[in-house]
Amino acid sequence: MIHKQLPEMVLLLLLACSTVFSLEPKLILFQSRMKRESLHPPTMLPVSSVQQCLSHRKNFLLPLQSVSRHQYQKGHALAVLHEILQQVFSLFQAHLSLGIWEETHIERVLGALHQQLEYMESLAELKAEQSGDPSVQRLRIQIKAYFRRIHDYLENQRYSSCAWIIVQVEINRCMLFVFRLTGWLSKQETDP
Amino acid sequence: MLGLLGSAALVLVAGAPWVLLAAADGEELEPPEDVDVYIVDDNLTLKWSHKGEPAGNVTFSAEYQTDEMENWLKLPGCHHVTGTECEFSLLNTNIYAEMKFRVRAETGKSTSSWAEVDPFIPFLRAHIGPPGVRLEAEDQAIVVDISYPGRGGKMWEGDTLRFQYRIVIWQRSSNETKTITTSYYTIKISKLLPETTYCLKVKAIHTFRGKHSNYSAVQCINTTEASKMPVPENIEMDALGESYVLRWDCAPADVSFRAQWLPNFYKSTSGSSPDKWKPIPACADIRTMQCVFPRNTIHTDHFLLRVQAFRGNNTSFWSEEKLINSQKYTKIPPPIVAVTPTRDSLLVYVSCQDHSLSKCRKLTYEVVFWDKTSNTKRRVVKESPEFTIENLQPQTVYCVQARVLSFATWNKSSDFSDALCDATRPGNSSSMNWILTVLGTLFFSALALYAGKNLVKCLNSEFFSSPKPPPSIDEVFSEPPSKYLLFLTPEEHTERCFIIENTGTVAVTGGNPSPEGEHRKYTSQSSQDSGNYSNEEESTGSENSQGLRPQGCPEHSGPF
Repeated sequence: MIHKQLPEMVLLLLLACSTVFSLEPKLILFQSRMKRESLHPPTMLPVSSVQQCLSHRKNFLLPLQSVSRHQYQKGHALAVLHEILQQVFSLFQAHLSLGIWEETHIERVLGALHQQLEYMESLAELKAEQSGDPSVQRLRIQIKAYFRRIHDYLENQRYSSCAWIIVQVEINRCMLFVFRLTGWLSKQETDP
Repeated sequence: MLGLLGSAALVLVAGAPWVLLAAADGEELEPPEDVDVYIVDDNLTLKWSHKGEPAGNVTFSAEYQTDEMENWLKLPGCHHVTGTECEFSLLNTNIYAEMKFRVRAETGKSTSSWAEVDPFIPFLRAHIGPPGVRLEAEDQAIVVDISYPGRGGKMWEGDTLRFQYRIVIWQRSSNETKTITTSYYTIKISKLLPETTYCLKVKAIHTFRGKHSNYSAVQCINTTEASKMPVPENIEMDALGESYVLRWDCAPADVSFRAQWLPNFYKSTSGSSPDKWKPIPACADIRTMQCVFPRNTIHTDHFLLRVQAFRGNNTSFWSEEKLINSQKYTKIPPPIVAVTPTRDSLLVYVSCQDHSLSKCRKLTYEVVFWDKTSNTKRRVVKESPEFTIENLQPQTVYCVQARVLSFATWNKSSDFSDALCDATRPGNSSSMNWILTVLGTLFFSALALYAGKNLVKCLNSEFFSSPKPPPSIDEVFSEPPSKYLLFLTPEEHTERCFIIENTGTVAVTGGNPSPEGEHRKYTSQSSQDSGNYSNEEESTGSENSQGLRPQGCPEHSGPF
């Protein structure tokens, strides 16, 4: 099944994220880009499958504008990244039992996501958020709402193959946004 | 049209007395007061108070609206209710969008005005209900299986990783309590007494929002009688090349053992861990208290291990679970060292060799250096990968080697890198160095200035050039902008050469190089003339530029 490839993109996300906070930000940017390139081919969907599912398309309203990195500080960007990781984890974990993906593969992805989340939660910026900054809460709400739309769509489409393909395309889109964000965060590390 | 307006006006005038009458009838019907919304998990309770009318005569109806809806909708279960509260499930609503509620009193045909609640986002207003708790007894342990608040609902479905659980456990016969805080959904509380009643309660804490639930209802359970099968203890793991070695202790008995592993993330997900434990084939049936299994048996970095003893169909309870971070067993490669010598110091740069840079965080490097002739080693520990070793002798060969001293939180080190030796620079030439530095700086500044100027020129010509006519017109007025000639790509340079003769005529050589003798005819002076000529063309747009353009040259050259 084509949608078995879905988690590949998440691995890319992890590669991007795992490199954000290390010592050599300049290299990181480069490295995450390189890995994205080298891993991209397996995630490409056959054009024919996408074409078959065009009628199933839906606008999930990725909140690009409001979570645009230009408007926020590092803490905001981290919160956005953290929320996306958490929601992607929930999305895959919720559908783990459907047997859509090979178990070993999805466990590897979920394990890496979980580790990344644990690491991010140890960061001072995210710990400080616990006091509850309303602007950060608004950002998190928008991302939650976006992933809720994806969950609801899958449910309404009864988790059909086409629905998963559409979701895969959407997650890819979301990942591109994440790459931009991690790139920006790496840059912040260089010029604090 | 006018007629229609006229009749509408008549209806309004005629209807007005009736409206007034209705208002007079309902004059005494007060709207509800103190309307409040209380949300726990996915359940919303709307509460209000009302004074005036005797109970039973008045009913209440509520409506809601989200910012995605144009109209108010009746609140299911809150229509003509006689009490002062009603409940509503948020399962089919968008809990992240702003919602408004309003309630009014009704009696007979008259109704009060609406009493409205300020808009709010349900998710931000929701309280956390107590978690679900299921207990299972062993002889010396209780397994607590927790389900997240409002399980099956949507309110906390995307936040299951955000919860911590506080478990308070006590012996029923005693007042002494023990508190355990965990983010796991299945936890085994061990070292308990057999055949004893223990009680416990659990509450959920949302780590980011700082909200606590109430404690779950107290549940009590009896531990079983002591099992005759010994439970393996003191689980330890180590790495041996490409294998892991698992060891444990167990009371001597004629038993076999089996071990299992579980990806750690399952512990943080509600309801999935009990049946996800996986056998370790190399440790499925062994008689010794250790087993060796290949590292690739396990495909997540963080995992748990457990061991069980068995004899025939009799099995022991599972051992305590041992959490393993495989990074602890990953060998750290020695760092790479680079050295830049000066007169009396060495600038040392140490870099982590690991391919995944995230693993190079928080490293400390131990650096050893020595005068090659003396072999007396000096040692420094640095947290920064770049530093200077000072107060060295000029023109002396020093050797440097380094190792990674600690790796993240693990207290271990890598091997030393190979020694790198380099000589410090000659001694009494500091004034000469200064002069060289100043001259060098000046030279590079001039270069940078020149490059900058050229860049600005390129950008100007590319981005602020006048619009180009369509190709059809271009053919007619074939007058290529001479600026392209100034920005030929390297590729074009190799393919075609312009040879400018002293007389001002231009010859184009293709792929075939001209005989050497011919090249000698053209002096460097003539080439310079050509450059000036081109520049003039650019500014004047002279027709002569046609003559400089090789046939078949692409119109647009290069990336500029």
